[in-house]
Amino acid sequence: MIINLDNIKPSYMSESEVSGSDIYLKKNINLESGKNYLFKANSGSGKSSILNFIYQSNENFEGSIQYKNIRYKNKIDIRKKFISYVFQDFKLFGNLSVWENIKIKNNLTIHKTDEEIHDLLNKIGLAKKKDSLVNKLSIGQRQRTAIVRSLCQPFKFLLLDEPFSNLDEDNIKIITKILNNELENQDAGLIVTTLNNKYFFNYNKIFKL
Amino acid sequence: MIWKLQFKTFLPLQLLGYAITLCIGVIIILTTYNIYSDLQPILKEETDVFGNNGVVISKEISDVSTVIGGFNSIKGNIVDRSSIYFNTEEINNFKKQSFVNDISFFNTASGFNIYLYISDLGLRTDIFFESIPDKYLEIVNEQNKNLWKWDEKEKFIPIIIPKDYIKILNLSYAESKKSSGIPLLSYNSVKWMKGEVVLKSRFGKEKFTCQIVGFTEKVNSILVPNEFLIWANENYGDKQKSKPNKLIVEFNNTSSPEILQYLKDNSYEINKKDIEFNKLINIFKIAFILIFVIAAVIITLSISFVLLSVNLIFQKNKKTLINLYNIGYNLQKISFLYKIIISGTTLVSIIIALIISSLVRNTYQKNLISLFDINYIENNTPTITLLASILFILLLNIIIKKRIKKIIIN
Repeated sequence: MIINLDNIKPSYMSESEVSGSDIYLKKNINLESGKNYLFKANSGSGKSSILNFIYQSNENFEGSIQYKNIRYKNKIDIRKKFISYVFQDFKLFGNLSVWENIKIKNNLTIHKTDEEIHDLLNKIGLAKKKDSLVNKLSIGQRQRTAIVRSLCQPFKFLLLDEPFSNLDEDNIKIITKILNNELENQDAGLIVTTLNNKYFFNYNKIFKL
Repeated sequence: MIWKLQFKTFLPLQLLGYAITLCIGVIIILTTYNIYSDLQPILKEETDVFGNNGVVISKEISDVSTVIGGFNSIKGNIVDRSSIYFNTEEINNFKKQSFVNDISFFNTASGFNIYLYISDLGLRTDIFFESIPDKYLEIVNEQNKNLWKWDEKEKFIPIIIPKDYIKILNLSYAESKKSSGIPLLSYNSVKWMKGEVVLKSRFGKEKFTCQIVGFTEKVNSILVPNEFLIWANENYGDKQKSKPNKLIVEFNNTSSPEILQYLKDNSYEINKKDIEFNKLINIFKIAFILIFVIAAVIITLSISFVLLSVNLIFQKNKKTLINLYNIGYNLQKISFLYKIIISGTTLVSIIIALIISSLVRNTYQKNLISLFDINYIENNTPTITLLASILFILLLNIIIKKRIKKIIIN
C-alpha cells in the first residue's frame, strides 16, 4: 500500500503557517507500507491533523490523498482493513472495561483470539485491570489500552499520535517491541508524530511539519 | 459489546412514555374508526324500498306566503294551489347546487278517478297513484323485482304503500270495523292480499287486479310503476302535463350541512325523519372528526417526544457515536440498536393498541347485534394498521439514521 499526499494543506492554516513543512504543500509524497516515518513538529503545527487527514476522520484539507495498491470501498473499509490509528485522545469508551474496549474493535474485525488479546494485556501489564472501567484508569493505562486495541485489526499502516507521551521507559520498551513484531508480521508501515526528540523506532524518513 | 455501550444511553422512562402515549392515540383512532364503520349499516338505514340516493322534497305550505286574501274572510287561510308547484327557475337553481347530483319528479295520476276494492278487508275507497323513476326504488328480492312491472295485457298493478297505512288499517280502520271481523294484518300478510283497481273517466272504465309488493317510510304516497301511470294518464287522463309538486333529489352526500341550509333558505320541506337523521349523522361526524383530531394530536406529540428524546440521546452521546465511527463501525451498525429499540417499542405499542381496540369492538358489537338487525362485519383495520405501522417504522428508521449521520459526519 502507498499513501500518496499531493499538495495538501489544512484548510484552517495559511500558506505562510505551513511554508517550512516537508509535507504540506509538497507534491507527490509517497508513504510506503513496510517503512517507518516520523512526523516531527512543534505543538499547533498540524501534527494530529495530518494523521486525521490520512485516516479520513478529518476532511478539512486542500490537495489530495490517494491510497494506492489496495482495493477498498469506503473510509470504513480503510479503517477496518488498512489503517489502524492510536489517537492522541485515545477515543476509548469510559463506561466500558479495558477488555470491552478492546473487544468492541476485535468483534468488528475478528482479527485476534481472546488468548492473543490476553497475552498482549499480560505483556503490557494490564491483565489485572482488564475488567476495570476505562474511566477508572490512569492516562498511561488508557494509552496502553488504546495501543492494544489498535492491534486488533489487519493494517498496512499504523498511525501513532504521540504514542508514548504518558508511559515510562520500561513500558515503552515493551510496547515498541510488540509494535515492531506486529509491523513485521503484517508488513505494515508506521507513521509516528512526536513533539520531542525521542524517536523509539528506526525510521526510514523523518518529516518536519 | 456495541449494544451494551449504546443500551446504557437509553432512558427507559422516556421509552415507556412514548409507548404509552402512542398506544393510547392508536387505540382512540382505531376504536373511533371501528365504531364509525360498524354504525354505517345502521346510519344508512338499508331497509326501506326507497333508496338512500334520493330524498323527497316539497314546498313548505305556510299561511304567510300562500294565502289568497279573497278567501280569508270566509274560512281562515286557504292555500293557493299554484304555490305548491316547483317552477322551472326553482328547479334549475336547485340543480346548480354543488351538493345535488340529479333531480327527478313524481308523476301523478290526474284527470281520472281511481277506486280500490279489497274484499278481504271489506275496503272500498277512492285512492290516488303516483310514480317515481325505478332507480330510486330498492326492491331487494327477485320475487318483487318481477312483480314491479307493468304489462297492459296482464291487467295487473303492483303497488307500494307507506308503512303508516298498515298501522292506520290495524289500529284505526280494523278497530272501527271490529264487529265486521276485519283481521289485524302483518306486513307479510298484506303482501299476499290481492285487490281490484278501477280507473274511470270520460274516456272509459277499466278493471285491474292489484297487489301490495312493498312498503316505504320515506315516501308518503301510493306508488305504482312509472310505465303504468304514463299509460293511464294517456288513456284516461286529461292529457294536461302535470306540474311537479314533489321532487326527488339525489345528493352527493346526504349529510352535508349545506343541504339543510339551502332547504331552510328556500322554505322547502323534507321528511322530518330525514332532517333529524341528517342532523344526527352530522353530529356523529363532527364528534368522530373531533376524536380523530385529538387522537392524531396525541400520536403526533408522542412521535415528536420520542424523536426529541432520541435526538437528545444522540447529542448527549455524540462522542461515543463519533468514536464508534472512528474505530470502524459504519452508520448501519451504529444506528442499528436505536432503530431496533424504537421500532420494537412502536410495533409492540401498536399491536397492544390493536388487541385492545379489537376487544373493545367485540364488546360493543355484541350490544349492537342485540339492538339492531345487523350482521357481524369483519373489517380490515388490523391489516391496514399493521401496514401503516411498517411504513411508519421505516420512516422512523430513516429519520434515526439521518440524525446519526448528521452527528458523526459533521
